[in-house]
Amino acid sequence: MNIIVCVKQVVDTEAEKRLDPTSWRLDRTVPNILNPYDEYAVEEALKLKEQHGGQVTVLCMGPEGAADDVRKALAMGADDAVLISDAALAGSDVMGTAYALAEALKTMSYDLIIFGNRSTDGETGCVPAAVAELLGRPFLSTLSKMESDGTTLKVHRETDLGYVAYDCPLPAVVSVAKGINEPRYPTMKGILGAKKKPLEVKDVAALGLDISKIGLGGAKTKVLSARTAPPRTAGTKIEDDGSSAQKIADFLAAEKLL
Amino acid sequence: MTTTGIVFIVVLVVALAAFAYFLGQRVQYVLVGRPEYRFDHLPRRFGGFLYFVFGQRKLFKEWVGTIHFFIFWGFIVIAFGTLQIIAEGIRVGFKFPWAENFGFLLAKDVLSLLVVLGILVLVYLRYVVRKTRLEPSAEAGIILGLIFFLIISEFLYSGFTYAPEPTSAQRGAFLATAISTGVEGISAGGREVARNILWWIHVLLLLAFLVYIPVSKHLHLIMCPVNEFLRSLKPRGGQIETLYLENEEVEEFGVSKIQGFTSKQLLDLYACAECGRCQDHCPASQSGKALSPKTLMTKLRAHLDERGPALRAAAKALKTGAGVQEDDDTPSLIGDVMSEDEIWACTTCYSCQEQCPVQNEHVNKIIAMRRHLVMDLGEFPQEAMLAARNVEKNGNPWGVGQQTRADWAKDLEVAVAGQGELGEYLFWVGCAGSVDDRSIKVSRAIVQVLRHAGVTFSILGTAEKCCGDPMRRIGNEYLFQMLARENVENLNGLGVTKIVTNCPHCLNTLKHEYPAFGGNYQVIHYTELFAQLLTEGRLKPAVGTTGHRADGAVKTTLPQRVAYHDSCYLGRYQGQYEAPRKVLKALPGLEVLEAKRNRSKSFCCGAGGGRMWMEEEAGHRVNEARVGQLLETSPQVIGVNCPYCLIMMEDGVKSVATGTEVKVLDVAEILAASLTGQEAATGGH
Ligand SMILES: Cc1cc2nc3c(=O)[nH]c(=O)nc-3n(C[C@H](O)[C@H](O)[C@@H](O)COP(=O)(O)OP(=O)(O)OC[C@H]3O[C@@H](n4cnc5c(N)ncnc54)[C@H](O)[C@@H]3O)c2cc1C
Ligand code: SF4
Ligand code: SF4
Repeated sequence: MNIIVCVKQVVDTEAEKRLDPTSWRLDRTVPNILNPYDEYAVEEALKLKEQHGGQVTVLCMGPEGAADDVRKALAMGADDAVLISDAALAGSDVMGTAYALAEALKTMSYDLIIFGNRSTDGETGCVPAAVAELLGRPFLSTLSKMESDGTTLKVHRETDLGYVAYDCPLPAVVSVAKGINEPRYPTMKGILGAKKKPLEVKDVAALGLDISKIGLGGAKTKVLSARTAPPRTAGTKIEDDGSSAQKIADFLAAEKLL
Repeated sequence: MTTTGIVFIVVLVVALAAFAYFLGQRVQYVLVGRPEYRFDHLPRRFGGFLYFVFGQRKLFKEWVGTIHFFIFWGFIVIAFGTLQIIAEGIRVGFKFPWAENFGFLLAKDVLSLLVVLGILVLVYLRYVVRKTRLEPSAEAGIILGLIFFLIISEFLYSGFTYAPEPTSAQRGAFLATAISTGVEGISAGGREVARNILWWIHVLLLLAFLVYIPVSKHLHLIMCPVNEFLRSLKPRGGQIETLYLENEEVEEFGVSKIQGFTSKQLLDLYACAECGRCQDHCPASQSGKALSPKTLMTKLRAHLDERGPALRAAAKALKTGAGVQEDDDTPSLIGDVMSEDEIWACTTCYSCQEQCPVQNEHVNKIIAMRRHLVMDLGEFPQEAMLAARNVEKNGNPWGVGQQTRADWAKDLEVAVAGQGELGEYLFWVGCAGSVDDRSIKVSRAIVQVLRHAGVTFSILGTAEKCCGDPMRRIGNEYLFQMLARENVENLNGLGVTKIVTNCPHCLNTLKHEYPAFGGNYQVIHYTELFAQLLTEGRLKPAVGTTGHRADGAVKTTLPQRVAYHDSCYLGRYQGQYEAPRKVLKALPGLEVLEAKRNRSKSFCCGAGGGRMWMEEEAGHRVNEARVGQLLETSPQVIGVNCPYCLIMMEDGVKSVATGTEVKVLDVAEILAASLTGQEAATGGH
């Protein structure tokens, strides 16, 4: 079973996020990490590989520095990696990103493509669906459970009310929810081995990408402005002097929550 | 030569052969381990050997040690008597020079008597009082019985020999003399028969003891002195082996099988006397966790005894080229011999090693097994894994953004090294002091005191990262080394030479572990610096115990009864017990209270060794136990010097001392309050 995991390098979740006031692009000079959701995707792929054999390939679009985080996925146990990196890709939106990823995927063989549910910086959660559409593959998102016999996939898709179980033929595209598994911690063998695993860097020319569909110029969306969310104000503290139940009820009523 | 002599020599040869065989076996098992070089500083090693073995230095930490002292020296003196007994059995009338020496005989009987009494006390402790650390094992019974009857048979033999009329020199052996008077009435022939029988009893007991040594815990008689000689001479904080992690040939970075330990580590197993002191002081054992440092030794020893022959054969085959495979059926230690619960329960408090009379090294064995779990298998407690990920991403185990690391000092305008003046000291704030709300108050108090004394300093700000202490101790050597290299590079780049730390863990790491990475600094803990500043008169805590409130009322601003808690990493690791006490005692009206377990016997708060980030489910909580011990002194304040202790003690007070006014304050906070006349940070109402 050959699996491709798409991973994104994101700005550290704890880092203060800053937007460039003219392009409204995210300042990525702060510490970067592997998108935490994508660690679940990698883990899920490795578990399937342990059962069915095959290859796990990591695919990432990002700056050259993203190679460090791609290596983390390799240290966890993925076999090889492709990094799509080109200055022309900077500023791509969902459609641009999905186009580039899909074009790369078309040149690779796979039974399953696993995404994280969303990134922790861009957070649109739309890339996986867009890629599936471009590839013309079935797509299931927000999975909380995944099993496969090698030809079909049995999954639980999380909803607000619980989960819906699906069966799906392979090849397919999926995205996994946080907590679907406990991502493994890379061993020393994994870390040392990752340095030697193949990591191929491909640019726009190598993939024959249409420049008009990528980068800031090719973006179908345009960010006009952005502002910082107001800091959270201190909550209301209700000390229990015997009347707290009434006070809480009054508060909820005032907020039209009751 | 008498017939007895001939028979004896045959028996002796057999006994010696058995002794040599069993001992040789154990020595070979020890050599199955990886080599470890411990033959540097020979004069120092030899000096320490004499001091610890003949002075029995480490035994006196407890009163029972006195008994061991007498048994040890008693044995040596008695041995000379026994030599004489054996000699005269082989050649009638043979006399060593000391045989008829009044002084020697007197000393022999006095010591023999003390040994007998000592043994009775030990039997009482082990079988009647049943001290929990001492199992009433058959082995211990056999040993105590052998020694007891060895001495009794000697008394009787000498008594029968001296009868009917002891010489004036023989009268030195007053007990034997007394016995000789008692048996005077027996006929000379009867006495001779009894004497012969007693001779054989004595000699056979002696040989039995000899053969029993290498197969029992009494192998410590031989291995302990060797262990003393090979003891670690490194500073306590610097004893963790720095692994070379770039080697891809290495199959395992941690220890998963018994042969993965070094020979010295295996020697420890045979040196253990099973006295149980380590267990008595272990916060894990004492709070109902699976781990006992004593059982660690005994279990590993039993396992080595069992696997030894196969491993030995495999090693031989490897050498001769007959077979290349290592002994692969040796099971993994983890799971089969040691449980993961045991391995993760250790706080690396070092109390086991501090108390161990034979210089055994427990902590590194535990860390080696943790390294296997973390670096070879990637299997460790989820919460510890989260802490590791936080350190990787944010440079601190709390997972607070690295960019906010210096926010605690924003309004204080503390110079940041590289941007402003470096100053005399670099103040190494540490993770807790930078990001934990409670510990930040301590960092601020330290700044206040340093400024008061006119000490110039700077901080690394957002360039400072976790020193790596918790990561190294959970076995994540890789992450530790990354942090160490990065920090050392930063410090060296800035030309830092003198560092003062907030946290004793940082102190230990920077001082003892960074030199291996090219970081050589003069590192001191803030309590040490404060004590020095007090001596120099640069700090005058005169604005004292009383002040005036806004409304004019007089009130006490400083606590008067402070129970001081020695942290493991300032105390046992650095041996620094005085400086913090000196600081506290310099404060007018402040009384330092001592818990029963204090100084080198202080009890861990429970957070060291990465335990800060692990759940504590089994047994009861270490921090609560410690708070309980400190509360026995009826303090107003529990004084600490370490951010981990601060967090753990506050938690403990909340759960065991609810409704009391007891506060937990850092020494720095108490001192800062005395300088400003304000109430100690959180001490106000
Ligand atoms: C302020 C701001 C506003 C924005 N507004 C829009 C907007 O309105 N419309 C728009 O189209 N874009 C917008 N973008 C751009 C967008 O956020 C990303 O740049 C775009 O790549 C979509 O990625 P995402 O982070 O939303 O990915 P998500 O769809 O949240 O990511 C889901 C999964 O897709 C995979 N994935 C995502 N990116 C990559 C990658 N580069 N390489 C490999 N796998 C990947 C990962 O598995 C990830 O877990 C905005 C950006 C900013 C900073
Ligand atoms: S270091 Fe402390 S916690 Fe660990 S085994 Fe020794 S005494 Fe117990
Ligand atoms: S390890 Fe040391 S302290 Fe512990 S039982 Fe053995 S000899 Fe005693």
